Amino acid sequence: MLGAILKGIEIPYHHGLHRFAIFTACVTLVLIVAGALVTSNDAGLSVPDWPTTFGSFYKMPHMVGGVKYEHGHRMVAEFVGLLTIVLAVWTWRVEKRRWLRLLGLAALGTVITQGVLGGLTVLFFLPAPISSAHAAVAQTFFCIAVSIAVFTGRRWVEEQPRVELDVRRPTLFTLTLLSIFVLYVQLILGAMFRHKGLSWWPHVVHAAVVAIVLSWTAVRAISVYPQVEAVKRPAITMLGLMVGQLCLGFLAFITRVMWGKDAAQPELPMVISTVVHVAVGALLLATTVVLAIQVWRHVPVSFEERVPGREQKAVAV
Amino acid sequence: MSNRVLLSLCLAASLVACQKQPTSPGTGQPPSSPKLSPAGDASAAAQISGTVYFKGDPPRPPAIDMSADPGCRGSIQSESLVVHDGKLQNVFVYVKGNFTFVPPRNPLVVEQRGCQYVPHVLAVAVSQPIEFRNTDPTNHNIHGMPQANDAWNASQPAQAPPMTRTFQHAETMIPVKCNQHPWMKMYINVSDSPFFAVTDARGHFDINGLPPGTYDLVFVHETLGPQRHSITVGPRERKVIDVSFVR
Repeated sequence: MLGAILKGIEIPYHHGLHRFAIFTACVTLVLIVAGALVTSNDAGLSVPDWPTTFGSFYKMPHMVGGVKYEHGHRMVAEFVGLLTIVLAVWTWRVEKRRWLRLLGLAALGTVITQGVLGGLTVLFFLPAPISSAHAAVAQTFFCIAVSIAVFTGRRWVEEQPRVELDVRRPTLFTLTLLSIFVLYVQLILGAMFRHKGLSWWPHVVHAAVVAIVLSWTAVRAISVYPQVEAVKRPAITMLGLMVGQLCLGFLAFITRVMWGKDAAQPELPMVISTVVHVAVGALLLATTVVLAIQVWRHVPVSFEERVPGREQKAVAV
Repeated sequence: MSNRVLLSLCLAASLVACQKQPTSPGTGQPPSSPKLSPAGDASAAAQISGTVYFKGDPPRPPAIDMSADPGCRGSIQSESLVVHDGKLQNVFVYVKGNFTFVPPRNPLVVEQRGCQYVPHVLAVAVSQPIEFRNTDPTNHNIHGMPQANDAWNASQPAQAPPMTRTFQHAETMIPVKCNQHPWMKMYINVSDSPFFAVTDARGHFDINGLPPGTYDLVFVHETLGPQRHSITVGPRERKVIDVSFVR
């Protein structure tokens, strides 16, 4: 029945828009890698001005040393900004779903906020709270871009969702929201450590919490709803990424905290392990968001359980 | 007027008289040893000297990979712990106390040469200018990260005019780095006392013109931290203080 309601509005599928949304999400992942390279190479202030680069908006600086990472990051960021403008305008023009048009605008607002945070962190010499906010908003934008790609996909638009009502406690949807929350906390703790605002141990200790919550969510999704492909697939991916991320975190800890504490300059193993750790972290968060979206669509909580207040009131009357 | 105040005033006058030419980079020493005016009680001034040792086997300094920028040539090593025959270089030594003096006006020079800061550790008096020069064929950015003074970050292209900075508050081991070349790092020590020095390649330091009295003599190393020693010097005394750092 819910599927019929969800299919109540006839929505045309826009192949071009969907492909463009996927492309934007992929370039955003490249941007996250470029940003991680800036931090791992300690190159954040190699270009001291913003929004100009060495006083110019258009001149290409000599791309050596830290400038290659910092200015490269700025160039990819400008490209993503341009893609986001196109995506927001395109979505606004062709989409019938108002909430998706608004999501396109939200993506634009997020990318602008992200650019301003990037500028502020340069102008204020990398204060840990601003740099960490820059890292967190980057992954938020990535999740929005991935979500737009999901919502504009052929499966989402044309397929009848297979619905299984969730009667367990806590609900699978609650677990996915909890997973997103613990991942965000982990993202902020990791960013604060990377930007020298916190010690390493809160990030490492919280990794255990993340592992427990995500495993619980994935096992519930895979074991209870194995027949719902749209839920099972992101749950398996999330579990795999989480295991990989824990290994990468261990590697990053060894190369950076143990071996690299007295390093005279960023060393290659340190750079590779931390950058891949950031990229896989972004993929893990985005996969968990996709899982939450698919659970919301395919495994809804029954209406009576979602609005107990209304139910009680009706009984009273 | 107490003897100490009188001595300090004479010392200030002699410091101003001495400050004419910029000091060349490399020593990290004050521009001139404080001298007492003959009109004051110069004959009472004491001298402290000594050697700073490193106990144990120092780790081999890691070689720096400068391939990231073709403008950086040569081979250099990390200077975070420089030990020659058990003697420790680049230790900032200063006498704590309430001294009244006119800070020197001549700038001390920090040179960016071979993609390295020369000197690696510098000591200046409060308000004394520091002149940054870039003699490399590449860009550098100079990012100072003090706690008690204002932070800054500025770019200095190849052969650009010198850049001058001053510090208004005493602070030890202020990190200064270049983010374009992340191995480039140096430390500036700002003293509100005119009696300070940085140990040379033989771990040696000299502090002259100190009024007789009891003081705290502080030794600070960038990675090994601070050490404090109480000393008493009498008139015309030449005191030798040797200290050791361990890791």
